[in-house]
Amino acid sequence: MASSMTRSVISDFTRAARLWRLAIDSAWLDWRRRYSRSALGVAWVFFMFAAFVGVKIVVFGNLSPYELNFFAHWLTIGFLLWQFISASMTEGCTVFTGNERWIKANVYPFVSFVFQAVCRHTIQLLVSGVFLALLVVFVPVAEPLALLWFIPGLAIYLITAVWVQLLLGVIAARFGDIAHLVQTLVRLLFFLTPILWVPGQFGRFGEIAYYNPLTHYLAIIRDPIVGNGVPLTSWFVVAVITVLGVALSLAVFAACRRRIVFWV
Amino acid sequence: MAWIHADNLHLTYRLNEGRRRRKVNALRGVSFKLGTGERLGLVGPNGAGKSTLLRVLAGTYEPDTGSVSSEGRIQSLMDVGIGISNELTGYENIRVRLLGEGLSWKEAAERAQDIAAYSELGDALSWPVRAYSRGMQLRLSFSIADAQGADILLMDEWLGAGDQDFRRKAAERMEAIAEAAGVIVLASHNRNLLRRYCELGLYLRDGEIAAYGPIEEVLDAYLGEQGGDVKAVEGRAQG
Repeated sequence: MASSMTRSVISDFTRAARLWRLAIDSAWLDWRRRYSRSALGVAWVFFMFAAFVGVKIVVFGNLSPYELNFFAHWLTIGFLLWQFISASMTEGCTVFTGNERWIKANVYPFVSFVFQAVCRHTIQLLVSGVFLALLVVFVPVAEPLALLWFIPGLAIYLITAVWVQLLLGVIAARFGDIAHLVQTLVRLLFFLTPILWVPGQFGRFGEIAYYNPLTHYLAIIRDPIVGNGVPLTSWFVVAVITVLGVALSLAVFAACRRRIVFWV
Repeated sequence: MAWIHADNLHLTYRLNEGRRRRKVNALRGVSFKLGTGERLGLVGPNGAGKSTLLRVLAGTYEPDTGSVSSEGRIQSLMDVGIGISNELTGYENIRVRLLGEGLSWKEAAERAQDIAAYSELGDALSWPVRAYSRGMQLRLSFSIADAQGADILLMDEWLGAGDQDFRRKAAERMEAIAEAAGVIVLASHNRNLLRRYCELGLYLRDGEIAAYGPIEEVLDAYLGEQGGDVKAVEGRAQG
């Protein structure tokens, strides 16, 4: 029984991986569809991000004791990554319930819906990231070479997005309250995570931020770029969470895979 | 060589219905063997497990115990709109499904042209599917399914839907598969349809096989038990 469950999970993943074109295509179609009635189209993703971050830099930058350049990079990187994290969490809850029609048609493996969602959020990250690229060109960051931390950092983000969405997708399909709970939680976390503020500005009180795992997820990419050095503790925390999260997610998926079709 | 075997299928599941969860005892020990060229008609009252059985055969539902083994490509035509997105255009739907088959972008674009032509939907292919009539949706679903070819065809009350032209196309499809010695499993309340396309019958009652054999005998057994009900259902189906 256990070995057949393992085999089903592995085959689900390999089939989904083979359908990578489908994931990219569906993700892109999704964005095009959302802006299908607009002239600017998907460029709206960029403009919305730019407007949001621009206003926040002006308002919160003036409230912050830090230098404006530092704060602009801090907030832009933080918000860029936050957008991906929050989308993974909230939309992870609908990754199966929102695809009922395909699940009932039994045409795609379950994991391919997760890949589609992750691709969709990655597109958003890349398009919004153009703003960061422009910012960095005009206002150089403290450690330009440290921008390379985006590469291992985003690799971790992609792995995280897959296990988080697979896990939330299954649980939210079974329990109707989870999607609302997660949505509420994500809104709170936006303020509890150092995006609009810097832990250092609150002295010892600010250290509480490090009990929030998302602080560490932001730190692994953001800290070296803004000149705070490579946060080894944060990398350690993220690595442990990744190992545990992947194991938990796969276990839950293996146990529930057969039932998802009845729950959605 | 197409065949499909069902071996002692058992399945119980709970459906989410609002805040309540309903337990369904859908299949209780269903077994049968269909070989090349055999066509089976499923009969039974609503809720007897016909649709569940078809979904288990299609692989959508995995049984609790027992197994399905088969050889040949399975095509299932269940509900209209399943496997089609309302938000995408007809053409996009075709392309996405082809990519889902593992085709490359170039291959998908080429095949999509053929399927688009076969669907005879014309300009409507560039509309989102939510603007389609039910008949047009059927036509799209059917064209996509059809293009993939099949040796084993599973159908749930499919032929009753759609306009005349569509029904003709669907009937031709069944005949083509039948002639190619494929396997057909058809669930229907329509007696004449069953007589025309199936030589075997299976009567499901509360998830168990109540009768299995030549279609006439099974229909007799079913009608003998359910008499009045069936005539009422057929009256509606034909009217």
